[in-house]
Amino acid sequence: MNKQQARALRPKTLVILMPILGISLVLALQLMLSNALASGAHQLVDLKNQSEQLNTDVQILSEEVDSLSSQQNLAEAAQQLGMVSNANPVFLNLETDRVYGQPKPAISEENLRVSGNLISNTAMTTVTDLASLVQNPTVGVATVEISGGEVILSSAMIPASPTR
Amino acid sequence: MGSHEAEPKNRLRFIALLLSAIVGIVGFRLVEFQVVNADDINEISYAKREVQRTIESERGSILDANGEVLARTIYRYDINAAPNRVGPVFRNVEGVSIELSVGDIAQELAQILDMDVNEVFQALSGDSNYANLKKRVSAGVFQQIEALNIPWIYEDEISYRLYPSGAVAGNVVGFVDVDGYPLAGLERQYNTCLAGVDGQETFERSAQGMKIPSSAQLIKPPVEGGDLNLTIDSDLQYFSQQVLADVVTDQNAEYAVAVVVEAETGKLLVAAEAPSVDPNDPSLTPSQHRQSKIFQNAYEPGSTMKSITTAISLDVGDSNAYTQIVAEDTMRLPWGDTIDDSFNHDPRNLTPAGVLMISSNVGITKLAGDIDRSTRYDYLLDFGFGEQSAVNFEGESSGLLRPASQWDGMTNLTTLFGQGLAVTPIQMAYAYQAIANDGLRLDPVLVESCTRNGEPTMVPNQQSYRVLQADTARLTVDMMEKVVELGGVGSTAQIPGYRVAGKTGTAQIQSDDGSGYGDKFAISFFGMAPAEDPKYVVAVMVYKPEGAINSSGATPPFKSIMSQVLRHYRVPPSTTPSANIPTEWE
Repeated sequence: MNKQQARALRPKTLVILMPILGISLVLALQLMLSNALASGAHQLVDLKNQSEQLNTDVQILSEEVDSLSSQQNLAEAAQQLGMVSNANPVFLNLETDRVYGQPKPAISEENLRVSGNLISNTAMTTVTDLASLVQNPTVGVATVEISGGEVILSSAMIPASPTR
Repeated sequence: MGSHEAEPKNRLRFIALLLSAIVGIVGFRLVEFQVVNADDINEISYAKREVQRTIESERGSILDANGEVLARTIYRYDINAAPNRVGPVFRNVEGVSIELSVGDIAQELAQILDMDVNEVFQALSGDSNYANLKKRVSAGVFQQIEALNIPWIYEDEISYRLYPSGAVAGNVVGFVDVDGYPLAGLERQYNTCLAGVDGQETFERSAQGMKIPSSAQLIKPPVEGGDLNLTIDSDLQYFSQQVLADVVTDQNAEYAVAVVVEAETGKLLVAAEAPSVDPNDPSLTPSQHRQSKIFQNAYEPGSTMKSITTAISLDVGDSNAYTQIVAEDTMRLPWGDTIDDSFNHDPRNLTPAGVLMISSNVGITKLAGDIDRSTRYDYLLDFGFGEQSAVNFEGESSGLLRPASQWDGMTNLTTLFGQGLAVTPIQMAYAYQAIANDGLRLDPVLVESCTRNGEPTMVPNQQSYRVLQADTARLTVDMMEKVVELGGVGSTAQIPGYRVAGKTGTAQIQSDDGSGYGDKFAISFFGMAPAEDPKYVVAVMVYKPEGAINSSGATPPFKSIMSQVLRHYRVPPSTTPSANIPTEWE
């Protein structure tokens, strides 16, 4: 065999490189895909954890709201703030300007009107923080400047409350 | 030379053959694995990776008439450890990794879980892979434990029933056990509405036991439980329970109940009891007070039955507003027994309204004693006595009303004033509802609907029963108004600004040894307002108050509750005077 024949028998560089390049390309693509998948999976797990965390937060907050808005807490808070329910409400008939009922001071002993809570609630784990309300009475209360003067009803006898 | 040329070719042929053989074998096996046995292999592999999981359905909520939640499902957490993996933990604090000993961690756990540190240590010792530290901790505690990031601590999420209003309507709502199984009340009665159907999913698990993302397959979707919508107004319910709790304490009574009914719709707005049960922890209440006495306890009603008897007498045409009765304070019967009034008095010339006003046993006997007993029995059935109400509450009593054929002479007369028969508070309240609603009795409605995904799946099939003619019912209300307007104890039920009609009841209670009536009473007041067009019926019964000799202990709570009801529902004050009917005659 002469040199020319031997050269002809030798595989061409391109033929050798093609499969290698092909395999490298496939491996590189696979690596990228795998990375993308792994990163997506991590992101999925993170988001899932975040979602669970938020669900737990919602549960904690909703239990607090339940507790604070329970009749027992409101009654206790009202009593501690000095409120006494009145068993002798007076009704006003705005059409006739008549007053129904006899106004009396709100004294619970007279009419079995109990202000303090007597109904148990073991789910009431959060109670109104009256100390903070007393220190800062405007907390959570939006004040609105009422414009205009006194509102007079058509009957012109009883001025209406400016409350909107 | 020729053999030298042939050598490489042979080698090439040999290598090609060898490669072909290898490729052939690999290809064959490939086809065998991928095509021929593919399904079997896949199945074996999947079986090793697959995990089945039950998806718990969420039990529905119980809501009051305004949508306020009385019961709902939340989650609690069991805090567990794997003692065989217990060891020091490294924690990153401000960029520095520090090692925490098991002792340090036990301290942290004990503080968060509110446990003794030795208790925690004991749970963490051993070589098992499971030890429970604490059951059913709140979401807040769970979050704190999770933040510790301890690899050998894990948590199980457990469904938990929360009753945000505690004992408000607790006796009616009922409760579930620690596993969520309904034990009492509406929780149990309407379990088919509230309970959902668990679903199922499968997912694949890696060799390390981790769930493979996106491998979950929903086999059976869970069906969430429905919501139960009640007619109860929880604010009024709370108010009524407060009043009753005070009454029970003040009068040292065994228990007290109150019912508020919307006369025109039959809706039960309040079903209050004291003592009441907090469904969050029923064990704090003695077992006899965990049920609903409004539905389950029958008692001899006493004089509140006189309104019913008067209505029957008017309806059959035996009497009218001007019927004249001479009522002595005692009446001897042909067989030797006597019927007595509760107080001594000279003979009085009474009308039916007067009989109700002074609550005369003799007077009511003279008024209605001659009515055919089977006719009266039929009326009592029409009023709803002797059978369970349409609420069909768990363990509801039907009361005790023997057939008229079994009444002896005395029973025939004592049933006129509420002895010799037993009723439940709900039965008597709806008998008064019939009078308040122009003689038309309505089935009580406690459950307005069951809704699933906003769509009603169950609504009550309320029936109405014509018990009295409208005129008779109206006249009965006018007569009952005289009890409050002019009566002795009855007048303490007056509400300024409103016309109120009602009737007192002071019923003797059989002694425990069955030797006859003892010295205890069931005192009650059943009434309605405004009397000119009754909108609400309020019933109050106090059982075995100490030292009571009349129903003066039942009118103040009636007044309190009725005042609140009228104010709550913005009922305008009355503007007309009471009916001009006599209570006595000359």
